[in-house]
Amino acid sequence: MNTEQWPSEWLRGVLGVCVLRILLDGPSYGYAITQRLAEAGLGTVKGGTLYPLLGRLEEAGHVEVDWRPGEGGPGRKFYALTEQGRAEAGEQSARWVDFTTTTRSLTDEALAQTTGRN
Amino acid sequence: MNSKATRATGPMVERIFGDPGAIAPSVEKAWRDDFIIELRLRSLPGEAIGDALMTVESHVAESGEKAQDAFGEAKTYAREVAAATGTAARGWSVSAATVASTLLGLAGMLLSVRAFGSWLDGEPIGVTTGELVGLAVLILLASTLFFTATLRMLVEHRWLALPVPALLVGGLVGLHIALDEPLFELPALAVGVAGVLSLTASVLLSWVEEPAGLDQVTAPGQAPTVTTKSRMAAVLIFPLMTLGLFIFTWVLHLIVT
Repeated sequence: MNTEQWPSEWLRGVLGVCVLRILLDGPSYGYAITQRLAEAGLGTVKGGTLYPLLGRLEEAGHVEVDWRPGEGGPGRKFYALTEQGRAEAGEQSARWVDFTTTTRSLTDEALAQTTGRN
Repeated sequence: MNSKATRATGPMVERIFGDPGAIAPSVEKAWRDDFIIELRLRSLPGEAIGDALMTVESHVAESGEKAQDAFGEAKTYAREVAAATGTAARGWSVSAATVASTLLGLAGMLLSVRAFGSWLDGEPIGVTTGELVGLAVLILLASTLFFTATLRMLVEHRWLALPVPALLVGGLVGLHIALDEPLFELPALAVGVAGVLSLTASVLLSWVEEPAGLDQVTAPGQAPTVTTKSRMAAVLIFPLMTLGLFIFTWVLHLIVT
């Protein structure tokens, strides 16, 4: 599947819950998060999209940040879930499952109708 | 892999005192400048700007992308950053104390220099309508500098830097010539004392206002480097300019007489 084809408005909606999910595995930094998202099949998420999202998570108290020295580089800003962020990750994942179940039942019907017609 | 990532390790902090170029060497200068200016105009403190800049540096150094490709237009991204940190809604960025201190400094400078000139001539100060109108215009224009809208206009139309001051000086000189009827006279000493008091008030206000320094762009974990020297220079700008104008006036006086 060509991951670049996901409409950007879909990605915008799902990115928050995906980032929270990745951080459940432990603290991580921006570039590593973009790579995890790409490996998961979401395609390339630009820094310009990711960091403001992380900033909003920080502002909301869902993540804590911590600069760690890089290996010869400029250092990395690590994002770690707070207790509140952990709860938020669980809650949002559950809601996302509900949401996709709902949309899925609709799209399954659509598929059934269009394949039935063909 | 970006070549910058192989740069020497060690405590970066010691080498990048308030220098955005050192904080983000992998980010193209034009992008970096636009980014910092927009964040400044949106009232982000220097520390937050340094953090945002270092985040960009960290990402582009590691991914090898250009800032423009990874983050898009600097101004647009700066707006996103400001919105995410909740400061985008703030309208203007300069405190009342800074405004008062600058206006007092400006007035103190003009009064002192005028008094000094009169004292050299051994005459009282003959105040003309043109001077009063000119002073009012100058103070009014200086006040507008504290609104973000004015700052933004000047920053986004940098070519204005040349014609605007020229027009201003021309206008003021024109006012002096056109409206040169003396309205009243003031003793040089009284005006001089008022000028010095105004300058003193300006220095005290700006000293109290900026204890932490000049809001430098600092990298994460780095304290701003406010030496007493740099702080003194910032606080004493108007007295120093006044002193310079004293010398200028004195030299002119020597030449003319």
